[in-house]
Amino acid sequence: MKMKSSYKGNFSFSEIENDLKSKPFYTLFFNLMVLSLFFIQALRAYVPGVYVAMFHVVFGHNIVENLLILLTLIFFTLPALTNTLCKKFGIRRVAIYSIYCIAICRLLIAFHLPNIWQTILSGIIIAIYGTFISTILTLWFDNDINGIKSNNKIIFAVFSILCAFLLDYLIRTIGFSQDISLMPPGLNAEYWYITQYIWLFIQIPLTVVCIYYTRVSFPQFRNDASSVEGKGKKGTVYSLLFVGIGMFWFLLFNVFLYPNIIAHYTDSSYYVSNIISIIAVIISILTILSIKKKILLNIKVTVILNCFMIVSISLFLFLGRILTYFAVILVSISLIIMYLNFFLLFSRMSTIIFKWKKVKTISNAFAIGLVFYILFTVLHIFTTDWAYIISAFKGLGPIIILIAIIILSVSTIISNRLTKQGGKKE
Amino acid sequence: MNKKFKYVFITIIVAPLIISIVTLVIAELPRESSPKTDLTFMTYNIHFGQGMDDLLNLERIAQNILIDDPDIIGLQEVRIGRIETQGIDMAFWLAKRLGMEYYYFNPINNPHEMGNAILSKYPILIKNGYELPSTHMERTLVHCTVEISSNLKIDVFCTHIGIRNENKTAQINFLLEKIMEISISSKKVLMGDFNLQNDTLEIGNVLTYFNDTAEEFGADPRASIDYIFATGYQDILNSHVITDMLPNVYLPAEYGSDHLPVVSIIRFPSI
Repeated sequence: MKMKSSYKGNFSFSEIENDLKSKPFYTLFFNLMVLSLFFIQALRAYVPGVYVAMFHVVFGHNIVENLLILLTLIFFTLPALTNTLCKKFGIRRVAIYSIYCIAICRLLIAFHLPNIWQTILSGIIIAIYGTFISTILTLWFDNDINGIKSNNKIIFAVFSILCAFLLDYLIRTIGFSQDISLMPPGLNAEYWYITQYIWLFIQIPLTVVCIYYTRVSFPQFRNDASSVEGKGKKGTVYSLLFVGIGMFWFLLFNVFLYPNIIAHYTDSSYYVSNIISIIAVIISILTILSIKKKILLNIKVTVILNCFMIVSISLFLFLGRILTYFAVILVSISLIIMYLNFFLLFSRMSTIIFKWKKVKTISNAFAIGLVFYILFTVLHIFTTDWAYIISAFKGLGPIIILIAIIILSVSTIISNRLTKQGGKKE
Repeated sequence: MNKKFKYVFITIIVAPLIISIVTLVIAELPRESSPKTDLTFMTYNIHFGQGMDDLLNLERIAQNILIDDPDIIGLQEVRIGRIETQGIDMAFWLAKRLGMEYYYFNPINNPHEMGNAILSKYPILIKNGYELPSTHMERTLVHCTVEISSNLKIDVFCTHIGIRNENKTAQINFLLEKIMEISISSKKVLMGDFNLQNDTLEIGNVLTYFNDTAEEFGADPRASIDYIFATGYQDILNSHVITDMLPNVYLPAEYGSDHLPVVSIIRFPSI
């Protein structure tokens, strides 16, 4: 019994609810979860949009129009401007308007706009989510009226984001692996104009609830004006933590978020791999909610878990078809480790003390993560789908995935070391 | 945690798990098709599920297919679980949507390359995939032996020939040799996107082994690069290209791909 209690964390939803009050608590949870879901959907839609545009360029159709889509990559640097926006308009206003903006952009996508517009809107959602997450976390973390530990706030934020992943799995499971928002029901000559917009029946309430509750019960944080600048120093080593977040996105959105691809690599059933992937997210959530963070921060534990993840993913990539369901289980355990790594990196990103303000730290972290996500995605595409363009790149796809896994592991281990050192100094 | 949030929490956690288990159970339900000798074949290059409006929509492809409700379908430009197509396994999705069995094959050396698939309402007894010789993008030949009844088995082949001229002859020769080597029945159907017009030498080579099912039905030899060839059949009842997906509607959005589905109804002798 004594052992059990020493591992058990002291996170409590009631403590946060009492601090924020009931309505703002639900508003914050709903916004964090739903906007993260929109971000996940946008990140999934963005690369295909650019891919189709490049396809047109290669075949010489509407070259200028399709090349314009590449300009949307500029959006990915926009989160880095969050601090400037906050100085001009105030951090609270920027947070609220970023919620409106994401909710409206997602609503517009549901109108089945042309590909170029869908891609542009997806790019905007991705960029503004960086602004949203950095402002909301800064507002909340700097607001310490009742002494709620920042650790509990981080757990709550990561819990909401992982719930968004679960919702995404749910939506894709209902659509038999396809996102149901992509799936207008059957073509019918008489009802075609109506039926293609059926997703709007789900999207409109989501957007309305997002906007309404943000207007009515957005939490009243004390330090709404601006957060105080930190006294820490800039350090290039910290940038590695941000790269780790980019690698997490790269690994998920290129391979591990899709039960299909796991099933294909391992010659197993989509359904089984889907169920096991969902269980992996659930276990990650329960672990984050119930286990003491101190245990996850233990360097030995982190090194063992990450070494296990690297070996498992290597086996999956190179021997997946021989190991079949054993490889699926290895990947699922690796998925749990990936989500835990994300939790640790996210906590470090949210509590790091830089010379910059917190909002700038988080938004810069987000922008750096996105840049590395794009960089590795492009590398992965040129070593796989487009390997015929540069034959020297052929077959290097698994190597790119392994490099990303190693970077994610190293950044998590360094993050834990820095957290421990920081803790000792304090 | 208060009661209200507890319910929200449990719903979010449990709902995906329950739904995923329900879909597994539904997928395992048995399907049956009644034996017949007049079979509808379709070949359709689905262009990664992206239509003339560039939007990804597999339901639209399914609707395009259901216009003629084929028994056996050959699909080209199929992707499975790639970031470029939002992680969807297209062969699997369409097979589930249409209530069919399927076999998908893509190049072994590059699993990210597009592949071909055969979907069938009838049991697939033998399934194999082969890589075609290529100096550019890898291309494949998919083979399935479909059991229509205890007396009727058909070897079905689906391919997508490359776009570079230097590969075409070698690929056609390879696939013809392979077909003769691996067929277990005299009844064979070869379909796919050949990237070749009807008056080319390569198609002439195919016609020494097979008949073009569209020939009797006034097909313009230059109009299509998608073919259904067959041999060992009794009669060809119909062959056509589906050109109008939605009558009286003229929108790019009605086309699920940049190709049109080609359909042939073929009568096979039952013994």
